[in-house]
Amino acid sequence: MTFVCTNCSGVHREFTHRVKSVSMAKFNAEEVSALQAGGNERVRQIYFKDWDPQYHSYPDASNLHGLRSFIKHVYIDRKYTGERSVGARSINTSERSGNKLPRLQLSIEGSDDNRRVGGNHTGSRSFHDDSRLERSYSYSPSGRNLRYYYDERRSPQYSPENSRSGGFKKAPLRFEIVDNRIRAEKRGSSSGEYKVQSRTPDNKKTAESSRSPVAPPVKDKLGENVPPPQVGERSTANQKDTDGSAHNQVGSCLRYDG
Amino acid sequence: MGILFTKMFSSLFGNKEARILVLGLDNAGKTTILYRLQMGEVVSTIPTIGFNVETVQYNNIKFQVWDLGGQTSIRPYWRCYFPNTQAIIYVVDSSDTDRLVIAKDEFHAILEEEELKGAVVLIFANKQDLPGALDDAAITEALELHKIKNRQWAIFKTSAIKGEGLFEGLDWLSNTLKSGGG
Repeated sequence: MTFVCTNCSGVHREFTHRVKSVSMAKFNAEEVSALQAGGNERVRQIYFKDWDPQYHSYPDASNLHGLRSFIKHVYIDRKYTGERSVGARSINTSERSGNKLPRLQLSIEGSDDNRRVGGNHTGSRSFHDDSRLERSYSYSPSGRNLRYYYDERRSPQYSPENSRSGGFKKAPLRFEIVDNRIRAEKRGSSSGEYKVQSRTPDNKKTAESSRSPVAPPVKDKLGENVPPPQVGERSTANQKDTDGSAHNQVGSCLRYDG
Repeated sequence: MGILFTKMFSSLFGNKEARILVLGLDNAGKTTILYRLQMGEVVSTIPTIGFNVETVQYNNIKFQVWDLGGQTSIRPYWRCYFPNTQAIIYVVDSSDTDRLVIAKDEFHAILEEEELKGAVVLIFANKQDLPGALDDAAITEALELHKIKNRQWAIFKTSAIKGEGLFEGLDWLSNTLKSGGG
């Protein structure tokens, strides 16, 4: 298990890797130890073994197609793992693994920052903090936060016919969800011309909620005694109904008509 | 009179509205299904924060489809959306056999809810395109659907990626809702 940014999380999902949100999901003991045993640095050692920064370049985090082929090259085709004869190995691996699909578990890191950037694309509010923008892009694959982990036991080999990535075309045209900035960002970066009609009735509130505290570094959450990180309150504090009312308490409900 | 006529007309010839919740564990494919239904396309999705809601017009029914995030910490918020719901679409990742027990537990917890007493239930055994995906019979078994009492339900094999099974499910849903279910 490892951490990825929100942009990459969507692409990994296309390759049927499981993604969990750091801020919205609970992590059980097994997952926590998988993170501790694996983590991004370890995965970098494996999947970027033959990676030479002089010859290879990281894709722009805003270029979804670039990200997709990058992730495919690195984790599916395993181009930089130092293994030889990539094509042949791919067949062997799928035999060995009983043709089970890869099952990469990923967690999203820095989603709050990305959400802020996403807000920039929705047009539903103004974007005030340029440093935030910069910072969120530091979660791009070129950043040091790139840490992947494959559970090889459960993540055998990808085979092209199983790809679930073929159909991506464009973003939905309309979002009613107020706090959907990650998605907005993702979609926004994937197609230049799309337009999000956010139904956020109260832009000011959205902007305020976007300044909610940044998720603490996951390492903190996975500290010594390892209670599974539960950040439910914070993650849901941003939820609002279509009437713009926010709700902040776990278990509290929205009111809506319809 | 004009209004009355309009109402009669719409009840006879369509424009019935239905509020649908799409629920299921994280990574089940809820958002992909929603946008497949709404746009007919596969979109790249990330874990849903909160919800997505879209209107899908089908078989003279205007489905207001709420896709609620399935990550563990936000599942408790599902119940906030229960009132006035005519139908639940429960999405299962048929290839995620490890978590079928959790899917079953969440499913039966939903059915216990008083506010959903009248809701019909449509189960999508999703991700049939993946190798190792269990079929509808196996999912029926795993979710213990035979325990459902006093409620109309149906299960369909679907692949949101390939677009298979989804509208068959909506057909069942619209027929059931039109005939008074939900």
